[in-house]
Amino acid sequence: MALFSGLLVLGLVCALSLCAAAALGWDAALLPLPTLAAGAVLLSLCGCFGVLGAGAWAVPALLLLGAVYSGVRAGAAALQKAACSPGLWLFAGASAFFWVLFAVQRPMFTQWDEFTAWGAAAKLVKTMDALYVAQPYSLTASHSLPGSSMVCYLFAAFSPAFSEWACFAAVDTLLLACAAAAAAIAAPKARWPQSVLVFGAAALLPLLFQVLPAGAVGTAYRTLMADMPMGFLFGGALCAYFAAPARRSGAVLALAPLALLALYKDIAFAYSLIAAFVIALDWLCCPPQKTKPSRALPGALGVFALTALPGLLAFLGWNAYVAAADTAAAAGVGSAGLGYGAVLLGGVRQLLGIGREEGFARLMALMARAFFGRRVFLAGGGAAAVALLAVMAALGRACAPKGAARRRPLAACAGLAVGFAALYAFHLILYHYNFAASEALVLKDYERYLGPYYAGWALTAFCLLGQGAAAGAKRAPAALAAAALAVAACVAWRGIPAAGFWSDVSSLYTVRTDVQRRAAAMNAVLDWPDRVLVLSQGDDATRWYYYKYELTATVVNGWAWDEAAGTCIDGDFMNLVPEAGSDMYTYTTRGDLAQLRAHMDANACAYLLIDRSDGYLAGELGPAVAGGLGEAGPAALYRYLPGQDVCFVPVAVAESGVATG
Amino acid sequence: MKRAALRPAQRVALCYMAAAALWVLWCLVGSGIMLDHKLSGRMPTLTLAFEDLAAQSLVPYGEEGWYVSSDADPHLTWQGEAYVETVQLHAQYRLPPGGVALYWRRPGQRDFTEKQKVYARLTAPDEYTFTLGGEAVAALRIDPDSLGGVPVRVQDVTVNPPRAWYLRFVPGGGAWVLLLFVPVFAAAVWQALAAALPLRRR
Repeated sequence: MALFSGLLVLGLVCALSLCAAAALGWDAALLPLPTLAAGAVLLSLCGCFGVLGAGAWAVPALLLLGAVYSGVRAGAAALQKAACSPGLWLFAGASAFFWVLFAVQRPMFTQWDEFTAWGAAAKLVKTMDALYVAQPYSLTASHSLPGSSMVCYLFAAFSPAFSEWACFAAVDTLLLACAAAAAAIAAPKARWPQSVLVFGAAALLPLLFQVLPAGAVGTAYRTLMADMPMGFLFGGALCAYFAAPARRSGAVLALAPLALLALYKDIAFAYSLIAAFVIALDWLCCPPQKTKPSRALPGALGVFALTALPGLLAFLGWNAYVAAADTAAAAGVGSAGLGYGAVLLGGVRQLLGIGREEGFARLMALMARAFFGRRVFLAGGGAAAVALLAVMAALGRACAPKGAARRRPLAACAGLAVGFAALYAFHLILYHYNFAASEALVLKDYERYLGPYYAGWALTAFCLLGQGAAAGAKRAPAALAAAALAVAACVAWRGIPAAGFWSDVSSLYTVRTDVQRRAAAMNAVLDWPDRVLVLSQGDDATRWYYYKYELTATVVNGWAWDEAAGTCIDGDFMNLVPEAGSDMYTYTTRGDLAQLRAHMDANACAYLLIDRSDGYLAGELGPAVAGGLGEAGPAALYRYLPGQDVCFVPVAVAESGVATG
Repeated sequence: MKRAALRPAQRVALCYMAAAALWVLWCLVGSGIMLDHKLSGRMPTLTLAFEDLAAQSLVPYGEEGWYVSSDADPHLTWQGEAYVETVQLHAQYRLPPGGVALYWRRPGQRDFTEKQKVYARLTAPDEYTFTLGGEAVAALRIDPDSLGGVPVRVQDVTVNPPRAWYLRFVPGGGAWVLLLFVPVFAAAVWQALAAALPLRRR
């Protein structure tokens, strides 16, 4: 059903793109991205107003109505002409391929943030038909912005259940829509090679900007992490602007992608402002010949205001919604809890050398070295990437016909370079204020944070090179072919991991499927408001988080024993041991039956889930469990009866062992 | 005489036909190599018991035949030269193993390397299949789990298990990516280069 739903929504998006392009006389490849983005933004609005379930039907219905209306208006001849768009067909074909491939392979979430943020949010949205911010249950992800969840939800409109693989396919469809926007060109039938080459190179960018150690499993195109979609939305919005037949229509086409961009991740608001700046710079530096010079600056300021607006509205609107829906959410940054303004102001002062702290100076040196030394793409570091992107801009200039088209690649490259410098400085500030010193000093996740910007930049560069090659000299397509082949060669040379999105690596999911099978048995008696304490002796938090993700219930945190204060403090997962400092497990929590009962009473727990027992647990809790508790019994869910001697009564038992099918 | 230029659809069709032909050729060459190794005895089907393998970081655990990994890097090593296409690990686990991987070492190579590694896929209950695609190996190393503390009973390891001949011709995920998308990309490169470098004879 998830496959049917995904393909149906994909078909509707393609149909609307084709019919609207026929009515407007554009390349149909230009429209899947604005269409998808508008649908996801509309769903976010529906979610904020509490009518997400209705939105799930309304958006596909609007897509259908729009397709029928514009198709009838365009007529058969125009439709036939619009259908000659290689970008659209490649988008449709590649997206459908991902849907079918993942429907067969059924890949699962494996990355930590997919359980605690992006995947949990997508699951809750689909399961509850509502946004997650105000949900009181454990499957919350209130710090996640809704962009990713809404894209997944849009494609699951006709599916009754949540599927992890369908989320991967939905996000991949969004990535390919960005690639299609880059590949959109005027008169696509005659210039199909340019379109295909740009699409091919763009589709390889997630692999080009994936730097993995040897033997690792690649996550490109099989991840719900927000980083690469953010970079692609950034580049895709710029491509929609640059590939449109006119500047005004381009600015309008970029609005929905920019709004979705700001709804994808916190930092994406900065990306949306940079995109608005690049568009304004293009408006200023590359006006058509008939434009009076005196009108260029007001026009640029006007288009900046227009294109910055959707991101600003989305960012402020979401924060206002979160503040209204969840009064516990704090709009602060980092452990110091400083406001955004204070962080920015303090960071800029230190950047300018006013009251610069020693730690900040050290981070500046580290960031400077990282620009040259840390690999952000398969062929090298940030400096190499910027140099190659500058070469691409020069190539774009050389390929383009005379006039404003020649200035475009250079102006865009300059704007993106300025934006990159600002973003780099912003990350320096974030490392200083938002990270623990130990994490900041190793520039934790440096590649993940900055890689998406390079990817978006490369997408824009390919779009502009494609535009130049389509309109320019006879030999220009060969330059584009060389650039696209260089990307393909680099990926083939260094970018093929031990396992990628094409590989069936089902043995990696054995822990996931084991917890999933056990949780399914317990979900038969659980409901969302039920509060459950989960114990899994020997766990390193993996199984605890998996249960938190799988259970249709509210998982209650455990406690930790603060030796210095001699009191219990709030924790998360627990391995109960009789004495502090026990070497039974790596992570331990001192606790006995009395403490467990007191904790469950204080947290109004209705159930205890024992995933894995051991000798200590069997001896300590055994007398309080109806039927006793073994050292190695199957996972079981116990109803908690406060105040009674035998207070744990089994209500569900999950078979032990490993899922092997 | 001026030869007529190919139309775009013809170029694309030719590239797809070439890709299909190359795929069949690839499979036939692979079959030929496999048959050569089979006939010369370099590609035996071996069924290895736990005792035939050198175990590391696996200690006896309770009942006979059961072992538990004492750290997160247990492995079973087999030394012997052979041409290997597929390996199957038949094993029962009492806890999920996490990642199950196989490394291979070529003749003359001293150490196993992360670059020669393949992850298992579950092909049947208790059956973990590694597809190497045809490698001359001097040793194999199977990591039965990646977590540590996982009880396992290895029934056997089958090197080159019997496989229906026609399955070789069914493309996997990676082959489908290449077959579906590389031809149109190649046709675009061809067209772009043909337009830029007109090498038609007159």
